[in-house]
Amino acid sequence: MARARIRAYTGTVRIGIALFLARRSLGESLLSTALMIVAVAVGIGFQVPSTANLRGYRAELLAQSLDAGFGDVRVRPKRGLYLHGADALAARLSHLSGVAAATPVIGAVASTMANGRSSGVTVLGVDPQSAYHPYRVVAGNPLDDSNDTVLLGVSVADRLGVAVGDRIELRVLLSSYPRLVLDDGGYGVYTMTIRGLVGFGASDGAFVGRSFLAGEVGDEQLASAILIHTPHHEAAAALAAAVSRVVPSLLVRPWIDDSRYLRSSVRAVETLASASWLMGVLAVGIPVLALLYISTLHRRRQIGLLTAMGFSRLDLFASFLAQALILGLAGAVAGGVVAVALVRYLIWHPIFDWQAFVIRPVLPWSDLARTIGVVILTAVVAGTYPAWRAARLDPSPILRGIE
Amino acid sequence: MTSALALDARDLVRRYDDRIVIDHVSLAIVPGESVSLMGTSGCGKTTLLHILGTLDHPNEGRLFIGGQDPTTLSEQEHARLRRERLGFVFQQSNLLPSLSARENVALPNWRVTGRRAEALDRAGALLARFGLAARADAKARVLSLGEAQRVAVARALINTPHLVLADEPTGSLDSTSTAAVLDAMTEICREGAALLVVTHDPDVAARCKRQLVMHDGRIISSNLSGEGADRRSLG
Repeated sequence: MARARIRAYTGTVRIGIALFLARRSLGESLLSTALMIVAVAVGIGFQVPSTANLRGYRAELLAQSLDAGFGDVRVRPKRGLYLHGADALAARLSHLSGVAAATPVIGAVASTMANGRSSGVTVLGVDPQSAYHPYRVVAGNPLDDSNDTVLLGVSVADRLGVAVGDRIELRVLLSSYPRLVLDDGGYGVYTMTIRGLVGFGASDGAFVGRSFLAGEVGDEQLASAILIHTPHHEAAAALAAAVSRVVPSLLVRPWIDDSRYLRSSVRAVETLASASWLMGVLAVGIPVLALLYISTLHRRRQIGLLTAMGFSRLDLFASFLAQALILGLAGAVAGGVVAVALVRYLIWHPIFDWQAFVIRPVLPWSDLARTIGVVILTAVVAGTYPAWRAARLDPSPILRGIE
Repeated sequence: MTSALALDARDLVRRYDDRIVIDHVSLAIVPGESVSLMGTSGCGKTTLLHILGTLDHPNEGRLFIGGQDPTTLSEQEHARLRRERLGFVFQQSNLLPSLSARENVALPNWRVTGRRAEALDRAGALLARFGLAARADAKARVLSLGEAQRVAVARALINTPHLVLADEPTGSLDSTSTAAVLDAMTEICREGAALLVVTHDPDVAARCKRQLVMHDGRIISSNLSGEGADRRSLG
């Protein structure tokens, strides 16, 4: 009954004829049609890899800063420099839901010396056997359990003029009280072999075994912080709250609060990705709208003839909308192929590769499908106005040749 | 009485702004009758034709096509009336250039029945009747003017309309093509449809059963040809 009422109001439209007329109309001007398909294809072909690169940049930024950085949630003492009994505490935290690893680290101020040059660094003591480390090795080998090897940031190595296998002198401030430094020379001097170089966020640091550094400070169980890792970076705030409930006496911060720079960077990338996506949609919509509108103007006579033949406004609207649908589909398929090919190429030839910071595009199939769907929808929406104009044309002046 | 007429127009008036283009025109055409409409350029012939074809609307007056008053119809019903009861032939650019002759003819029938193959068969048969079987699959854009007009006539007939409205159908044709188109139009009335043809050509007008002359929006003269006076008459 409802369908009959709707039909009585809107009449019927023959989809087969609409598609037939759309296909023939598009075939009438191959150049215009090709331009419209190219416009849609270019929109997808560039937008998808561009967004995929930004997504890859975001993923790499988080991987470098969190997975190969200071974790998703950082636990520190509210007062003082060190956590005591850090290993037992880390073991407890590692059993919390969503925690991939809880790793104690200890930090100290140090200076490095070699070739008559020196460079101030923060030296971190890390567990070589841990699943996560706050660095990514770009040359040489990972840290081992010996007490006389160090991983050096590439910038520090550059300043000192040293390479993997060279020896450097490391002077570590072991006391937290400057008075003691003056009184008893509260720093340690160690000659160490560079086992490897680390890059990106760790390029200004130095890394040694935690048990060694903590032992030198005075207690092998000491840590400056416990770095908690989770595979779900976005869930860091919730995880931090859970951790905080377990250790209310400690300072617990998710990365999003602890690293404003990272947070701002991630948000900037997300904004750029959204802008890129919007540009892609506009790049598709505007040419389709413009060219279909021009096509409508060029086909006024034909629209008049179809009206005279008894084609209703709905028929004309459907026919022009079908053109937009065909263009959207053809452009989306062509653009999808171009996009996937370009993304594949960029995976093998990244646009950025420096100190193990590599931007490789990330393109989930669901995203590609969604983008194609949105582009087709955009083409159809963009075709709505020309289709509406075509349907509203007054046939009489057109057929008389006065318009 | 109205339903016995293919067309019944009463006291039609059409104004554009303050200018009266159709000035109280009344006209009735019976099925199978051919009527010519002559007059100087700008006298309102084409406007009247478009009003009678429901492509335009009168400001005053009543109109019945096959007994149906188009002014009471919705846009969809208007379209249906045009495709089922009316046929149009224009002076030129009558066809959709990207379609073949057969597809051009078949299109209105496909729209009515929804059956493409049958419509194409029917179109092929009509084209063959008009001596265009060999050109049926040629694209409209490559047809000569005469061929295109005959295709347009075939298209106007495919849904067996009550009334065919032709606007200068031979206006841009040479004498040979004109003769071929007029022969094709003869078929219109033979099919039982009424024909109203706007023309400047007295020869074309002479082949119609009734000749009307229009001036300044009014029909000023109506002449009935002798019955069977011309065996080539349109109807």
